[in-house]
Amino acid sequence: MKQKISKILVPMDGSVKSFKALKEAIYLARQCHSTITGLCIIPIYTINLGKLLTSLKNQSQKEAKKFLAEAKIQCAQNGIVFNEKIIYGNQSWEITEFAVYKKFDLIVIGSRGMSRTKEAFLGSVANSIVHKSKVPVLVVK
Amino acid sequence: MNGCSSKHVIKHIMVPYDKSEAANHAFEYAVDLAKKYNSPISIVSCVSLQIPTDPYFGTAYVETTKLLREDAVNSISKLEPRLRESNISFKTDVLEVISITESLMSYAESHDIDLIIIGSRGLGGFKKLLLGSVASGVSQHSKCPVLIVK
Repeated sequence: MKQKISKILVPMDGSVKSFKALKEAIYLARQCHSTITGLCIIPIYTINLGKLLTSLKNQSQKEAKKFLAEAKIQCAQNGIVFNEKIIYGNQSWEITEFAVYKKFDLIVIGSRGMSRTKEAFLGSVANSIVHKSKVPVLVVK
Repeated sequence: MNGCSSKHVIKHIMVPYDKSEAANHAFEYAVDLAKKYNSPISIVSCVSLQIPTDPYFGTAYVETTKLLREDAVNSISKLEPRLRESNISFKTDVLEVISITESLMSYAESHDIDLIIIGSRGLGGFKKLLLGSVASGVSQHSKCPVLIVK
């Protein structure tokens, strides 16, 4: 049974590594004629605070939109359709649930994100996605 | 029947609360069940300190956790009139934690909770998300029954 890769999910946080993962996803998308969805998860504490932290929420959203727009440009330059999605919540959970809900064929994620801790193999989000995901995962180092 | 322990009774209900729609529904069910079982309710809000220490965040960290805590205390206090008018004894708590699921679990254990009533989703996630990470974790690891409310 042949499995087509027509929808690729790339969780992104704006880090250099996430753009590296995007490049890898673009390469695959070109071979398999797939679409790419860039997904940014914004931590939840930014949304339940009313007026006081609205500026924090707006800032996070602005940052996310900025690098997702950059991702869209990179995809367009390679003739790949790019969709963007921003979700508030718990990173690893939302990514794996979204991947199943929207029936993605592949998740392409960087081994590390914004965090500076040089964990030996995988950052915490990539690690839990590899364990929990029901969809194949490609980890880009 | 002799030697029947009171293991399978509801004497203390816990409601993890985060202002979400599902949490409000869970709270309403808790009020109803607390009246029927004549049991006190513990309402618990968690303030998660998983705030990244990125450069642009810097000193906002302390300020943010303070605001989160104030907001949690504030939203829980809005539930109090409803509890008073229903004559239910209650206790409220705001916990500053790293892992929400873990701290809810240890709270339940240390406070002898017999039933946890929790919303299926919190404030985040996407529209069609069926079960949030906390509700899922709590339902899997809880030692007492869990009622998941949509």
